[in-house]
Amino acid sequence: MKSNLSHSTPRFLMMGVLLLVCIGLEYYFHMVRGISVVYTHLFYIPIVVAALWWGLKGGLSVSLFLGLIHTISDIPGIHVSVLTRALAFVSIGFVIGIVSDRRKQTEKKKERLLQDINERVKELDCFYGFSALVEKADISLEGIFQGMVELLPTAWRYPDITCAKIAFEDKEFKTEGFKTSKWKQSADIKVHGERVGIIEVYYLEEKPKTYEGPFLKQERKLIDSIAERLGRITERRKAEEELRVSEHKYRVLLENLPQKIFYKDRNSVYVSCNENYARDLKIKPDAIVGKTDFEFYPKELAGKYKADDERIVESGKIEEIEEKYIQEGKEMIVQTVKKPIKDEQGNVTGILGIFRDITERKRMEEELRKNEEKYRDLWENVNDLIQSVKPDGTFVYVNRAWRKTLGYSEKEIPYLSLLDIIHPDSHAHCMEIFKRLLAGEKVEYIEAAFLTKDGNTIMVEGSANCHFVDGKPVATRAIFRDISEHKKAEERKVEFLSNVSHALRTPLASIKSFVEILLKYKDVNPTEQSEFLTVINNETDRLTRLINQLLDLDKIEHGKLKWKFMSCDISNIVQNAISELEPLIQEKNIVVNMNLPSQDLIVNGDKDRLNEVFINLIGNAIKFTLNKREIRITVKNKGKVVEVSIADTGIGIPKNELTNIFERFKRLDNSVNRKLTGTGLGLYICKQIIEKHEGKIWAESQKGKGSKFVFVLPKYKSKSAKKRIKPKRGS
Amino acid sequence: MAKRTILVVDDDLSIIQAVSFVLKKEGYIVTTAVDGKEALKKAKKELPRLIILDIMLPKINGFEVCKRLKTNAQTRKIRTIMLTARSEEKDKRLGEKLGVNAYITKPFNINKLLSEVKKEL
Repeated sequence: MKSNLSHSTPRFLMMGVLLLVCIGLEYYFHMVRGISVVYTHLFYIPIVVAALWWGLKGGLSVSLFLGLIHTISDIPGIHVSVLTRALAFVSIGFVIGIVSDRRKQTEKKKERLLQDINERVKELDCFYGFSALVEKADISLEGIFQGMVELLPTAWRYPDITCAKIAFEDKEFKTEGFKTSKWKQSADIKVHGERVGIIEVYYLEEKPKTYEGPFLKQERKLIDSIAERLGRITERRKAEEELRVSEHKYRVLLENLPQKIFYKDRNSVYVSCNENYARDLKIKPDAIVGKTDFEFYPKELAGKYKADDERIVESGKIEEIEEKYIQEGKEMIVQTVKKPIKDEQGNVTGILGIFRDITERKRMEEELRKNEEKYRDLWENVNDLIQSVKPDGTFVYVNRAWRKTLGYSEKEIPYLSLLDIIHPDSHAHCMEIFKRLLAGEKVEYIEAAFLTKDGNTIMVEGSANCHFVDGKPVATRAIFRDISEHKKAEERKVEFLSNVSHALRTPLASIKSFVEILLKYKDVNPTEQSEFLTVINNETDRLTRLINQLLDLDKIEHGKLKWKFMSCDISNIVQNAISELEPLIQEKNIVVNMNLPSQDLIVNGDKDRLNEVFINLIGNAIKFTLNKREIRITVKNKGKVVEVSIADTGIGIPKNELTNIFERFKRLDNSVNRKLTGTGLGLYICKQIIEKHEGKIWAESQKGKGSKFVFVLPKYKSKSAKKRIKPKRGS
Repeated sequence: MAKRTILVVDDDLSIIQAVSFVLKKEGYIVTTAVDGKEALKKAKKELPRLIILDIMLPKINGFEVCKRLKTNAQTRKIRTIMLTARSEEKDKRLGEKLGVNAYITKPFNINKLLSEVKKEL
């Protein structure tokens, strides 16, 4: 309305200015130049046109009329005062014009206001209907949308031709007989800034254009505001729904826990509890609100509970309290965990309590303890590994042998779990057995790999069962034997047998081949024939030697060999051995250099065995001497011991082989030596014999310059001292 | 490349002597080696049609020799007969896996060896 007035004001001013210009022109042409008024009045024509154009008919017509009157009345005697009068008239006309114009405008304004109020009322009606809808007790979100869509047309200017639709998520709500058209107004429904739906209003007929197509500005505002409110309602409804669901979830969880749960404020007044707790107190959960322990428990017990609560409120720390009480004549053991609940500032506002009946568990544990104790003394002294494991995998008991073998102290046992002591490779296997045991099966044979505290693997075998109380598994019991050594020995035995088989087969193969050749080919010449027979002979000797050594070896290793220790002179034994080997020395044309001491060097030894050592070592030296065909035997007096060395001039032994050669079936990895194949046992037997004499044997070598085998033997002592040298038993 | 050349590999010289004697008698050309390294060298150089191979060889063992022969384009087609004192099943299986043509355990029968040789050549 205001805009209309301000709109026409400049027009009036323009009008005034134009009028003044016209009067000025008339004055000049009529008064000064003397042109007839008939012509000069033509100047007013544009003003009339402009007035008509601007729609200021009332005001302008009056002012024009007055202007004309003044000119006509003054035609005969024109003078200056005419101008003043003319101005006065124009002014009056002007004022009258404005007033009449104003009145018209006011009427229009009234009309508009009325229309506006009408719209507002519709708008308000719509909002009122909306509020009423939302406030309905249990209206669903869908109900709100459907109600709203029906309310919408009533708030628009032409309800009869208005359709509306609300689309929300995947649903649509429409007015009756809904149709779309090109005259449409819409607004988005947003939740948390995200578009979730749309409101659409359609006019089914064409209407004059206003603010937004045929729609009013108010209608735009209304639709926006409804969309915004629907968005807010949706947001709130969804939040409420989520809360309800989660509350339900926790309630279900809480109600179904076997524990009894309560919540008290900091003054030990109950705020809530779950079904289980209430059942114990023989009340409904809601009835607990505002009550204290003094209304449910004997005074003494309630007093203790109150004291516990106060202590926890004070300390702000969680506590686990175990207590016994008599209920219906039965002794009950309960465990209560009381946790202080704190607000954001850390002040204790209440106590959450979880009550658990552990009577049964305690009874089973007690039963188990008594049972285990009965046999503990016995078990503790058994050499086998005994363990008792709870269904959760922790240990109830392990015996001394178990702790010793696996390397754990008694204090560490409670912190161990079954999987800690089982080798990862056996985990799956053992867990499967454990499950079977808990299911009541007795497992007669278990083989598994255990892991010691130091990370070593040990192999065990054993059996296990499970102890049950009232049909419930309480603890598994197993007895194991460490079979690691046994397993290793078995592996060694297999390897040894395979080596023996190989060692026997090799000379046999030569013998058989040559025998077959001699049988198959009758045309073998005599030189070849005797050569082949020599090989057969040598291989037979080797076989015999091997068999003897194997027998010796067996005796030595199993301590079956009879040792005849006595005082004997080393030089004597050396000379005996040399004379025994004389044929071989002669055959090979070898010089033996002997470096023997002048005095007798007496050792406490078994003559025959020591002779065997010399035969072996000197025999090797003869075999391996290549270049100078010389061997050197040295016997030295070294204080408490006698040192013997036998050196050859062969190709020598690589450094990394120097210790290996004393092992069973270890032969030099050098093809040239193979020509002079031994049995692979000689040096091993020598070592066994020397060690039986409390001596030591080793080899020294320089590649290409031959090898030297050295051993030391303790000297023979007087009769009284002799007893102290107790020969070691064969290993 | 001599078509009837056979390489005999063994660290036991008397076995080499016996096998060589028999093969020569039967008209084959025989070349010998006493360890795995020498065997590989001779196999590449002389390209025999057949190798009679021991397992327990110095330097490179018989199985390894066999494996290396099979991975070399030149020597891949050489036939192999294992002649060994190792009589265990697992060794025989390993030999099979490596693609040896025959596995004979010591002590062996000369005629059996010859028939296997004839089969391969």
